[in-house]
Amino acid sequence: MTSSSDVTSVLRAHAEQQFADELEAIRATDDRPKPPNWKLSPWAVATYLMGGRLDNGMTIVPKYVGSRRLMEIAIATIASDRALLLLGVPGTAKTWVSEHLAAAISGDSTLLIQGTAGTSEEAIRYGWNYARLLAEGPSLAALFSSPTMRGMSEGRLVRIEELTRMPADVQDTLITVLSEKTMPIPELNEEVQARKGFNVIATANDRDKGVNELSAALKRRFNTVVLPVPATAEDEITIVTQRVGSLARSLDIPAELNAIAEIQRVVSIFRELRNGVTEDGRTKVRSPSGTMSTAEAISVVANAMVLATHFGDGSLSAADVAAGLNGAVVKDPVQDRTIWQEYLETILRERQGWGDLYRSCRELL
Amino acid sequence: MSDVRILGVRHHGPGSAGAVERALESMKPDIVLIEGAPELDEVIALAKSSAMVPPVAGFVYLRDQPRYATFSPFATFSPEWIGLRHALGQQIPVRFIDLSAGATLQEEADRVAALQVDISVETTVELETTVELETTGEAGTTGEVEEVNESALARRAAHDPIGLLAELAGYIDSEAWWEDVIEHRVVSPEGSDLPATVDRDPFEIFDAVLEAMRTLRSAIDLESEDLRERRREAAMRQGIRLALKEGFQQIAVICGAWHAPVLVPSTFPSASSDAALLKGLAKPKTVATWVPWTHRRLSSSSGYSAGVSSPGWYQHLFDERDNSPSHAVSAWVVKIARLLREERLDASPASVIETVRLAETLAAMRGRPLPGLGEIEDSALAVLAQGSSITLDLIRDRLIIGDRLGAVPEETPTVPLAKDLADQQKRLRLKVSAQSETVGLDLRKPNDLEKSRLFHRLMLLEIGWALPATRQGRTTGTFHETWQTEWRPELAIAVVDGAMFGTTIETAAAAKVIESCLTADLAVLSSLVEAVLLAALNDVVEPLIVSLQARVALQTDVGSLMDAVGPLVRIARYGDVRKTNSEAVSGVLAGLMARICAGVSGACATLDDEAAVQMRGRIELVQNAVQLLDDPHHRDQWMSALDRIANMA
Repeated sequence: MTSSSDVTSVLRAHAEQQFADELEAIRATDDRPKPPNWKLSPWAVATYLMGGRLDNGMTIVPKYVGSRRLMEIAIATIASDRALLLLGVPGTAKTWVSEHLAAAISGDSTLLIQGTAGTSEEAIRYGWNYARLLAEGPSLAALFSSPTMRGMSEGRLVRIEELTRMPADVQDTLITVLSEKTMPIPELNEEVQARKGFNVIATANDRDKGVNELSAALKRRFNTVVLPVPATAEDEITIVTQRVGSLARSLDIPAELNAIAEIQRVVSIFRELRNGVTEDGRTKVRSPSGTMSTAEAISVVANAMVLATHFGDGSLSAADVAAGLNGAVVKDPVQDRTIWQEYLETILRERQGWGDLYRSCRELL
Repeated sequence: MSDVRILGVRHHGPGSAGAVERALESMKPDIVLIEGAPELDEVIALAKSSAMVPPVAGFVYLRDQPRYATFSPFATFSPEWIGLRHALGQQIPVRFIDLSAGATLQEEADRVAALQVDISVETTVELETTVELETTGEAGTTGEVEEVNESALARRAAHDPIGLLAELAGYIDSEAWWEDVIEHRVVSPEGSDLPATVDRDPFEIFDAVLEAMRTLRSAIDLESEDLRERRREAAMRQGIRLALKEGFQQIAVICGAWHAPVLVPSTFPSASSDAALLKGLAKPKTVATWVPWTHRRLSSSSGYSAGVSSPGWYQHLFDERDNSPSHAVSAWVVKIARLLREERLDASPASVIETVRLAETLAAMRGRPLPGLGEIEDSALAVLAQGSSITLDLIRDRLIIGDRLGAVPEETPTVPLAKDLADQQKRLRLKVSAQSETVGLDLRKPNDLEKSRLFHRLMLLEIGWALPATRQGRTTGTFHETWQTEWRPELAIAVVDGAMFGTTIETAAAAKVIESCLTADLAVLSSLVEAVLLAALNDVVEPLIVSLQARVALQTDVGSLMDAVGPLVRIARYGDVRKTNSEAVSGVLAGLMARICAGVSGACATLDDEAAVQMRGRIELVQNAVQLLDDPHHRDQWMSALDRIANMA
């Protein structure tokens, strides 16, 4: 049986709650050596991520659809006490993988630091409770610990999202943490030393404007794994189907049988626009300014399903998909519009059996 | 009582090579028999010279039809090479045993001759030009699902027994399986600092391989085995029988692992049944010699069927065989770091340490006793290359495959083409040096004209010793040419490739052109006409024009037709300066122009931006060509075609 989602009113449960029974089952059958403070052995973590079948017959749903070697490198990196940096264009499952890695290894994916242009040092190191500070003077009690400090003292994984959005001076506070595995507190003449099992998983994307490149010293402290866009259309369809399925369940949408046809069409359009050439390789296509990532494909289909359920007749049709498609492709109102029009006229119109999609998209343009 | 030891190896496997070395030293044989073309026996003594540096290849070809040839490559880490050198060093006899290469080549030549080889476009004849001397390739890396079909299984097992075993053991990559089971076969619990096989019985490994192959062979229905394979094994058995009859006491046999079980004397079928299999085979005249080879050609990516995909890595493993395995891994990562530093990329010692640590962790995760190439590559990607696959490609190309080029001693018999080239260079008083020399030619002088022809013929053969220094070297319209000559060691290999086409430069160039007639596309064919006229290969002009004509008639894509016009017009206009035969070209040109003018307006109809730019370029080319030609009929035709295009929109 596949996993059951958490029956609470929470919109999106953490990975360790959503897949609690899978993790429990793997733990029960895991007899390989575990690094200190790890909940599962590295091999078991790989099974959890890539999916498979356990000895007791339980099927593990694949969380990452792609190259197994990349996942093995990521897990081995964490096992060898090196920090992990996941790179890639937006929408290639970096955050998703980071969450599941933390859930599987530490059993807790909530030690999370979100990197933004306004992130300050307190988010990474520690902050002060000024009232106490003024009243009692400096002491450990007056300190607000950051997720990093908590991870270090408890020996758990810390996740940092969008590392390159942080200002460079804040990024560099990580250097000492990663190389010496201690967090000095100079004001109190103390330090926090990391316990075994502590590590950092950072994600960064290389597409945005306004990124602060990591300094060479910091970059050297990470092992880098680049997550690619799905290599084949089949992989991408699998990913979209799976994620749409779980999203649908959380939104209480009844299961759709004909979604697969629409998913295939959406994935095909996304891949052609992303790669700049039709799937048979014959005609060149101009790419729009957006990233056309898998994550967007997922949201287009999910959007369509919501439309169909609440405003339509309960079955997924081309008109539902068209609305989301237009929105996903046309990000820049001038350039992308002409590109989308060109694509509709030259490619979509000629396809057999796609007339309904073509007409709906034309209407909405 | 003679003792025959069968050492079944993985071709070009460094672990096998090390094991063979130890086995030979322990056994002290009085004769060594190696799987390989018996024709090479006549040149075997040359391998003793210190000037013979692998990678080299034994080269056997039919004396009268050099197109049919086989190459048997050897690297320093090939077990066969180790056996060869050991025997020559100990001054004991060494022979190659296998089916005669001449027989196989003659069979191939007869097969091709039986087909209608006609230089017309309709017949698609696959000229199987080189027959790689069959080595039961172990480089198969397959993840495919096993076919249930028995004969397919037999074929697969014969060609790639190791791949099959690896798959059965759950490995996707057969090299990794062999490394783990054979090469990394000892990981002592005390620590991995001891060399792998300090005091183990050197024959243990070969006995194990023999058993494995025997089991594999018994599991497969051998009636469906290739006739050629059975003949080869019969020939090898005859070689062993001969050695036994001659009274040698300690016979060492080095062969591919797959053949090992059938070469054990106690399992031999009768001598007469083997003789029957080998009866009636052709015995043509063949020539054998050694030629230099490259690691790149050893790698399976360049098409060699039993190649290994990482010769640089294997060379490294072989060089490090007396050190501990963990030392080999660290030394390799240091090599990667040094390569990156040469390319001005960062590679600090700390990164090197981290790469080795990650590789070891990965190996432990994957259940392998020691990190292999796969683990090192993955770690280098994550740490040294920081995720960039471009850097990894650089490492793969320069280190894992590597640029090594072998050398042969001076007294090695050269291929006839090399001899002809040397004769021509001497006759024309052309200096051959590793420095770049500039040669200016005035084609009105007969000696210079001959030099020009030689250079053009070499260009047709893709032997890049002389390259045109200016663009003017490419037209028939001038009497002045400038060339740059520089001899590089790699050219020796190009000469060997060219030698397969003929024994003299003239015949070889002509033969190569004829062969291209069958496969080249229209634009290439028409530039070939120009090249052939520049090289004064007059016999080839007519067949080339015929095939060009035929290709033009069948070509529907107007764009390709337009691309072909340029070279032909240059010949038609400027033919007289070089005393070249250009009348035939005019005929082709007329047909070409007619078709272009008829079809160009249709081809301009529905074009996207990029195709439109390309078409405009082509129209300009044809316009220039028409003006150059200065023929009123063609000009009028072209102008009306342009008219039609202009009036289209």
